[in-house]
Amino acid sequence: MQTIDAAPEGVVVLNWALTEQLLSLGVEPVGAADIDGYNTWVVRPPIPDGVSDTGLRHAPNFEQIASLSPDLILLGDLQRDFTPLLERVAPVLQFRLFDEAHDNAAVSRSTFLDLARLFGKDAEANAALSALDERLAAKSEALSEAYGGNPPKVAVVRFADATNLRVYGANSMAEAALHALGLENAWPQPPSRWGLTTRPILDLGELEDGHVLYIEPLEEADALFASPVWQAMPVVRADRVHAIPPTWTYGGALSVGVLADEIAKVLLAAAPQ
Amino acid sequence: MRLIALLASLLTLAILHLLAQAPPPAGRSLALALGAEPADFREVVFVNASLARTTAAAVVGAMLGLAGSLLQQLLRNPLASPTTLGVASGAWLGLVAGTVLAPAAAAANGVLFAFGGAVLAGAMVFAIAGPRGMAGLPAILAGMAVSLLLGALARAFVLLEDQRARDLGIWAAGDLGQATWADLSLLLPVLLTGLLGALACSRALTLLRLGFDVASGRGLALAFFAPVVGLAALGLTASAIAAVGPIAFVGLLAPAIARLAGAASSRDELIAAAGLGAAALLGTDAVAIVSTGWAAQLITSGAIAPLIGAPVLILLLLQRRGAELPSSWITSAVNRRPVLRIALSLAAALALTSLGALLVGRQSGSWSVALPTALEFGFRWPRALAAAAAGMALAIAGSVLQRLLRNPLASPDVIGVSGGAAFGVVLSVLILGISLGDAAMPAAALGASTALGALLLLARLRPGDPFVLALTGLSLAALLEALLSLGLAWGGEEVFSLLGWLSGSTLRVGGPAALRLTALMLPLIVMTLLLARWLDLLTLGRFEAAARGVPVALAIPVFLVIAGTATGVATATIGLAPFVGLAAPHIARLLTASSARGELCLSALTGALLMLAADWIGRTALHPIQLPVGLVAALLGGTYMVVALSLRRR
Repeated sequence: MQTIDAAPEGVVVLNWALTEQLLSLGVEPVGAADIDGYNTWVVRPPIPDGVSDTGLRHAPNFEQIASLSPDLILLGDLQRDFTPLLERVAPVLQFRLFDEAHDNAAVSRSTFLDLARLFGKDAEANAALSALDERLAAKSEALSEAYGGNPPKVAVVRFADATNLRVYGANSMAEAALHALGLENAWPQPPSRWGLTTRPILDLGELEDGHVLYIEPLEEADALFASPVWQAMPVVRADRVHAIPPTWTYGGALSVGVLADEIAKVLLAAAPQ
Repeated sequence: MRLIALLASLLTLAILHLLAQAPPPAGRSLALALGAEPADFREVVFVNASLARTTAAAVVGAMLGLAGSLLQQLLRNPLASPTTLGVASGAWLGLVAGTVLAPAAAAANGVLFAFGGAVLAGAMVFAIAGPRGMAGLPAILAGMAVSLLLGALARAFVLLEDQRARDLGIWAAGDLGQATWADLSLLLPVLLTGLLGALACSRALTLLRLGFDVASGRGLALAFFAPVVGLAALGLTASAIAAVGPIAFVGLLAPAIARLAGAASSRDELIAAAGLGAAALLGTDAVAIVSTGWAAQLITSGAIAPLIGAPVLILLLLQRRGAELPSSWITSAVNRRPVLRIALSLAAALALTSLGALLVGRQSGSWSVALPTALEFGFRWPRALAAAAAGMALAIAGSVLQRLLRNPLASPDVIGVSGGAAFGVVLSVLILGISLGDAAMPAAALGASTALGALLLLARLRPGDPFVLALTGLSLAALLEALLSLGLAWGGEEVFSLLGWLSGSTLRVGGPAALRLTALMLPLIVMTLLLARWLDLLTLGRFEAAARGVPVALAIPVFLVIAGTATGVATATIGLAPFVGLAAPHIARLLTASSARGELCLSALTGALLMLAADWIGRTALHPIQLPVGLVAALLGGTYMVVALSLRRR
């Protein structure tokens, strides 16, 4: 890493989680990777018009980046190989966001603060984080109240297809959101780099208590929900499976808040009256 | 008697397969299987999932075995199978393309897309190998090439639409857990129709054993019969693949084992292949179920099958008796133009293209032709040099191998050296968690030299058997695909940088790496040119070459090491670039007939030109998106091969 003296004017960012965080700090990059993909999968906050597309995340277009004459380039995981080539264009900062050896959620907060310091936005970042903590603490309390002081355990999953699930376990942003809401993971998984484990849907049948929240989209929904095995699942019979709208699960500190908001909303709606 | 033994072992395996899925107690299980109402979740799972999965393993295995036996008998080719003819890759491409371009239609009618892709692949193999070639090595080599091309195309879809295509990874990894009774109600009639149809054809298939000409002479309407049986085999394959994903080796090995076990008549072989296919898949899937329980991640049958299948295939082929295959060196050259003049024109074209690659670029959508800035030049020259040098290395390797195997369809990918390099890298990144930049060079070198060692060993054990040489490539390709699909299925992000590298990427190549590749490649070319006379004589056949004083026992390993090193060095630097080593020598021979030395020069220049152009197109065509050089080169080279070879047959 090199040291940066003044707040950078033109920054190129090649990772979606970093893009998301810059935008929420009010910093508009001059170039960002795969803008179409970002708008489909990350969605919030939107990339303003006029930001230049620098190609796919795993195949950045060096010449396009150079033509933007940035004074800083930000890289994420799996982009370390590009550092020596991009350093010819501008100083490069490479962040390790997701790693088996560290706490992804804690690192996402320190990354957010590091980014803020770089752009002289410390005050905004601290305010945003404390507002986040306050908001989630309030939701945690509301949940506890709604469930009579005994909030349910929750499993967060995404359907890979009609047969397999991705289960968000230790070191995932989803589990961090659960913990921030004072909830326990109903289906714990060993920690891993991305906090994600692929399991057969059948294993969901072993889940006796707790709620299951699945992140949309689910294209095979009709076929899956009509199947006898699905209908016989204990969690399904108890009507404890709920959808949450498409949400990016490899995001930064504030996206933990977005996930937590959705989780709290669904659980409050499902709470016993 | 043998039929009873087959049925008994099938039943045993089915029970073992059910036991692996933690069923209710035996008495209750039997009652449930006979139609009792399930009472709790475990019993619902047993009826709807476990029994369905066991049935699916048996049915899909039987379909693949039957399809393999039909193909092998029809083509009279013991290595024909859905995997080796590229049909499985075609089905995968059909489904990926469908999912990306028309998601709703593909989700509803996946089997049609898979069938379309399978037929496309079959037609391409037929166009490349030609009707006569279908019975021998040409079909397998063409199948391998088509498989690489269609696999590369599918990879491009996955790369450009990574989030959407990712979940197909599980399907592509061959997960039998996805089979439902609804799927089976479609699969069972297909299997039964296929089986009855095949048995009805067995008399005609027996007649075919006497040869196509004799069969036609005795009144078999081959022009009608062959396409019908071929399409039936493709239909069986596509239905099986659409339901549970590609599972390699079952269709290849089941008929071979059936013959080894004494199934002599056509009818016996069809029945035994179907039964053995079912047994093989039941066993494989039981291993997959148990492994998924142990590992923290999903392990699929598609990943287990090559692990078991590849060693079995190697054992089987080593035992195969039979003489050197009749293969003759037919050059495609029709013109006799002076080599020097053509070489000079090619060199001029290469110089022009280099200028283009250095001067022409795109920025924010608009084209620019200008002297590059120092910064731009620093980005452009290493990738241009690396692409050209890799193209030369692959072309030389291709030329050497085609003459060594005496087959114009051989390529560096077929002998498995590039597959070994790629396998080494994928393994280091996905399983050992090493970063791609750190892993690429050492892991590729290790993988390539291991594959080369295996190749030399096999060549010693079975001198002169080209099938054996094609075998490491075949096995490694299947292993590689399975590992990649598992990587996709597991859902991490690492696999996407791997896919980019596997499609042949010059992005990470800096100046030193480009110079190193060039420095390693040049002595290989010089050495090959010095030994070109041996190559000329070896093209006539091993015995002819020995009679004229070539030390064959030394020459063959030397040429294998040259071809292997050239491929390994190129792959370690830029990743996979299929079809370059196949198309470049072919184009060289089309330009003029010449000795090995002339052909080597022209081939090297053509390979460099092809890769340089591909890299420039990949950099600019879809700006700011960059397409991997290997992918563009495979599309250029592959399209050329299919068109050129099918036109020539007219």
